[in-house]
Amino acid sequence: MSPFQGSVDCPTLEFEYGDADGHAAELSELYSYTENLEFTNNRRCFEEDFKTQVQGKEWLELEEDAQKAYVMGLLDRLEVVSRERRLKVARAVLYLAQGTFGECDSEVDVLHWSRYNCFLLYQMGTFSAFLELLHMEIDNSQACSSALRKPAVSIADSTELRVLLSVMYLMVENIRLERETDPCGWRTARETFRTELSFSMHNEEPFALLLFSMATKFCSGTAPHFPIKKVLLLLWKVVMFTLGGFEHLQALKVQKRAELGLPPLAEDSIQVVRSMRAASPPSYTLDLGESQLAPPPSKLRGRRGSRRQLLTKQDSLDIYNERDLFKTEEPATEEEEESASEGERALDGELDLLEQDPLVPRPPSQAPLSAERVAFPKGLPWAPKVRQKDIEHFLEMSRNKFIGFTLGQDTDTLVGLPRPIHESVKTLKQHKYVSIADVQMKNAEELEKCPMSLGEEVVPETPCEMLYQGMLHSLPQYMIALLKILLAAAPTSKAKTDSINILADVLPEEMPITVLQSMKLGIDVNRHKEIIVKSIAALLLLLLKHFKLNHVYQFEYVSQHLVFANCIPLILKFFNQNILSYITAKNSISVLDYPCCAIQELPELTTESLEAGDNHQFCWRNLFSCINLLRLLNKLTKWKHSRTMMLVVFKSAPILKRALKVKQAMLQLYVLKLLKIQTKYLGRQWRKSNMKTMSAIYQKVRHRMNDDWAYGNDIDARPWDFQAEECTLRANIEAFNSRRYDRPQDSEFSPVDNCLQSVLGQKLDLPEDFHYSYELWLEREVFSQPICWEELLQSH
Amino acid sequence: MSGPFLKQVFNKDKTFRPKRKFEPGTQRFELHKRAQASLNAGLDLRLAVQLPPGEDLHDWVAVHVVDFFNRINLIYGTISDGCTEQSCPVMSGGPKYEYRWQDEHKFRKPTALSAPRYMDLLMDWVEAQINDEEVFPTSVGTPFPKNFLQTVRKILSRLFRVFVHVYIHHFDRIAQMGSEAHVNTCYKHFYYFVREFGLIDAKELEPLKEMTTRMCH
Repeated sequence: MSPFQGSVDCPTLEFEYGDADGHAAELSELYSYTENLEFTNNRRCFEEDFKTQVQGKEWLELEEDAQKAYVMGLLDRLEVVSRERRLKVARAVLYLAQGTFGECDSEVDVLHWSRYNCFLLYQMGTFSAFLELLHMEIDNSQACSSALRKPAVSIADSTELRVLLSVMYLMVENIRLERETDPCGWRTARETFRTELSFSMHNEEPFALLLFSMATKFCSGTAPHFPIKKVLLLLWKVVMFTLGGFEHLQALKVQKRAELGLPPLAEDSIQVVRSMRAASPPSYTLDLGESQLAPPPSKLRGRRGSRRQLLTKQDSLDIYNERDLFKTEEPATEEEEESASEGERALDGELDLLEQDPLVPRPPSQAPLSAERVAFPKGLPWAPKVRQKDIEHFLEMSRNKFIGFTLGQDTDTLVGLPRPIHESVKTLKQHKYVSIADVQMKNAEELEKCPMSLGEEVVPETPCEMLYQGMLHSLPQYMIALLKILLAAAPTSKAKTDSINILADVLPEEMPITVLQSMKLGIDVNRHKEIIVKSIAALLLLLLKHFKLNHVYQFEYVSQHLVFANCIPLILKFFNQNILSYITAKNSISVLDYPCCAIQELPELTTESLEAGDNHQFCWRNLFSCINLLRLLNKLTKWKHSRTMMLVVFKSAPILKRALKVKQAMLQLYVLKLLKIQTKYLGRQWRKSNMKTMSAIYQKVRHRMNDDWAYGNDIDARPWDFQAEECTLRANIEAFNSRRYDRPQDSEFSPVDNCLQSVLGQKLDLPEDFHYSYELWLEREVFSQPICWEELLQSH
Repeated sequence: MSGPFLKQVFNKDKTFRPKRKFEPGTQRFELHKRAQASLNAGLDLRLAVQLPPGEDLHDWVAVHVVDFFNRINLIYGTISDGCTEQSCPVMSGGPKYEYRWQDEHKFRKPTALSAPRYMDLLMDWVEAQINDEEVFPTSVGTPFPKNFLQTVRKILSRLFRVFVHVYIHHFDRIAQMGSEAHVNTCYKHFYYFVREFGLIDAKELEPLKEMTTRMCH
């Protein structure tokens, strides 16, 4: 019944969100369990080759120079015509990248040597060599056609590709990882590698584009043998490596705000989310330990601006409560405030029913606050925000009521408005937040209006910009491909209806016979799908965040394509399952995970041991995917009426509420945000029966001043406006893209050629008999026509 | 117990009926009388409800009605899972008072309903009024109807009944949740408001008289 009932069973999950899972976990997810047999294969290939070059010593015993020399030779041997021989050499390289585990004793060793070897391999030019091979394999039409002819594609059909992609993935992952103890050479190598991938060698295009095109090719059905999981993992990590992870994004954002002259951020969102606690089931005993002495946030509001159209929108919870935190301490005005006190209200914690200390004491006196930046009140994690348009809207309403006419976007003229309104505007302005996107949109508008005087925009060539430019042309196809694969990998999808087979690189050549084998394959397949979901969700989120920072219209462009490709119902469909069991799924066999499986003898697996699974509280990658999908959904729908209504229309509220059962703060936060934007459309009945959810929203989600989320009626749901909104957005995006990226065409603004020589030199198509009749023509059309000088003065 | 006045009060056709016979209240019913906690708002609600100079009375009243409606809806919502057909088979305000629902559609005659049902109908009815452009006009310039205050009186007396039921039957939950102070303050505000403009009859206010005397001055 209540959204939290299920969570009595679910303990608070100790989950640390980040760019990705731990290093070892990420590496182990590269391989499917079916591939495990190939580890020995790789080792054999290496050892056979190695002993032809080096006698008496092991790899680990060699000096660095000798190792380098060996690798050089190995890469030379890669350039043979025979496909089989090439594969063997590639496997040897893979063995090196995997950490020459045959010579290691422990997992730590393996990981250490894997990293060491990868740097070495990179420095010897392995990546470019393998890139060439990858191109060859992709273009290998024979492999494609033989795969198409097969009734069932299996892991055997992607052998070469898997080896190549694995080597590349290991290199990217190992080099991407930064450690304090890294020598100088490694740091330089990392930066060089990053640059290489961003502005890649082939066609000067970023490497990521090649992987995107592999995905589209796979989805088109012409290359069903592509090992799509590895492609997606590699793509995700390459984007992360070249553009940067979440912390880097935060730093970039801070920097960009400074560059644009915007005030610094009030808080570090990553830190805030980390410190948030999951909502617990309502405790009917007084849980004093958890309750915070929360003087709820204050906000000033002019109640006077309340003609009926605002009646239902006014959040007048602000009547009750604590001392006004934002009043300046002037004794003279105190009395005045008392009588006009309906305007000065602090927001009460009426909805804050769960964690309220029942003996509400006097609120602690607040230190006088500076007029500029207001510290956000205790008890709530986020500082309230106000947009410029909210202030404008508020003022227009008030002016309408008290004065009778409006002043457009002026937010400074307050004459004629009652005192409480002045106070309100002051508070609103104190919390005003101007985003980078706002500035970018304004600039774009100006560039559109004044192409001549402002000239061409100076666009810095960052990796993100290069990626966008490269993706621009086929972006819709890339997004559709990613979503198709996501749909196929979602747990709620029925396999039969899919036209693409994402299991090609996990299914063994021979189907399992015993029960044990079937169980193992079942786990493998589920794990495979989970990893695919993880990489797509993380990839899309990362792309959107980077593009938004780079330019908001790039973000909007990608978002629109995602929305048109039905990303919203897809994500909702994904959540329409038992999320708690998805998150606690145990689709892994730890003894088969790399690097464990590489150094130990494989123990006997029994059905019991498979059923028992591991002893983790939850599945990291699944929780990670869920959070990322929710974040994605938030990004697509935030501030977009039409898309918010889609959430309502698709009846997402019960689906989202079920997700609240998971006791993890970050996941709950993003669910609550999605519920918050819908609340006013869900009706009074829903609100009445979901007070606990309403309370949680109040406590965890950032407040927007003047936002009537808790009460509003259906006044806002004007469907005819939504399409107009999307169309305007589309027009703006197209204008942006064409202004920045289209070849300059003959437009109205191209200069007129008035050089006599060149004009006369142009070839004109004249009618055939012109040289007979030209004199007559001249007489008629030129000499006898009077010049109407007045026409110059008329406007056409 | 006789006389024309009481006959009127005990008339079956009225929706507000004090019960003829009643048992002395049990402790639960008395709980609310000791209600005391309040939010120390640092402002005087009695002054706050007064019509500000230059403000239109109907406007002022309308805003408050909608506010109270929204608030009371949420207050009921917090205890609504404890208010069921089983727990409250009758919409009552303690052993002494009982409310029956009457409207223009299904319930031409006052009908005894369970509390949750009564609440649903009540809230729907108030919401319908509020959303009715003819009663609560939204556009600037459209005047309020002539019988606006009369409509408002009916709305507010019915909303008062929510307080009655919540206080008398569900105050233990309110106390458990620690939201005494909030509910009390909301009630005080409501009470001062209706008193200021004389919008509810004294006899309707009877069920919570003791508590009110204690809480509001």
